[in-house]
Amino acid sequence: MMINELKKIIGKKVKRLFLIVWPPFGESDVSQIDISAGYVFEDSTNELFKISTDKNELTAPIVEYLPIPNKNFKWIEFDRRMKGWMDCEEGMEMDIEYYEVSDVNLFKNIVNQKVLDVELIGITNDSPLGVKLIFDNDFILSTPISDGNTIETNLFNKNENLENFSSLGRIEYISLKNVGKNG
Amino acid sequence: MIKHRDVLGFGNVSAQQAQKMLPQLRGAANQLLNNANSALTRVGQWHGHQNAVMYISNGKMIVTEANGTFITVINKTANQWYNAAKPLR
Repeated sequence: MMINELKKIIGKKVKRLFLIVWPPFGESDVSQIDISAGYVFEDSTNELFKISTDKNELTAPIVEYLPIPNKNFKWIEFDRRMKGWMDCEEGMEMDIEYYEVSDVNLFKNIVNQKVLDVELIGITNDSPLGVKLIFDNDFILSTPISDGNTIETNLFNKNENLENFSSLGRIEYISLKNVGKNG
Repeated sequence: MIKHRDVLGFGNVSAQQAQKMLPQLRGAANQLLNNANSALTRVGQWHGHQNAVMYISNGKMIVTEANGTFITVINKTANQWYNAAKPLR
């Protein structure tokens, strides 16, 4: 089911991009901030396609279709709000936070670009752990962290989170581009 | 813990409400720990945590650091980290 949904996005152009964040209340390590990516594709501008980690398992990817968020924060607020949450600042209302980053320079090689391929990432002979979307000059890698999900790109949040999984075995990347095609 | 309020039995309250219910959430987590099946407890790597303790209780897995600091709680009793971890003796 998830693989079919992921295969469908190959060739689609990202029209808008959101970072979806669970407030890191009291968290001491920035690499442990729970961040997922939400994509609005050019051919379906009324829904947000979220790729994250299944919170029931914390070692498996999940995809969801969500409504476009009514309320979202500006990217310029991101660092201040994350620090506020990590410092347990009082007076902040806890809820999932959406940051639209469609016009942010860090993500310029993702927005208005086509998804060239989707790779499932996992340990040999085991279920997939994460998902990587490949663009012409960038990527978004989505992998589990100890209590959620993280994303990394060429320019954002490069924490090399996948290295944590190397103790489980050899990490494999499986391209979905040709899965299901004959020959 | 607020993120896991549904697993801890508080799925009917909002995140904002749960902010004011931290003692109750901690109580629910402690109850899970107290009721854990010790034969199923394992120690090992949990993502970036090298010596995490994974307790199985009431169909859930609650994970802490070696010093007892809460890491997470999930609605499953096994995953790749648990399978790779060693029983606590």
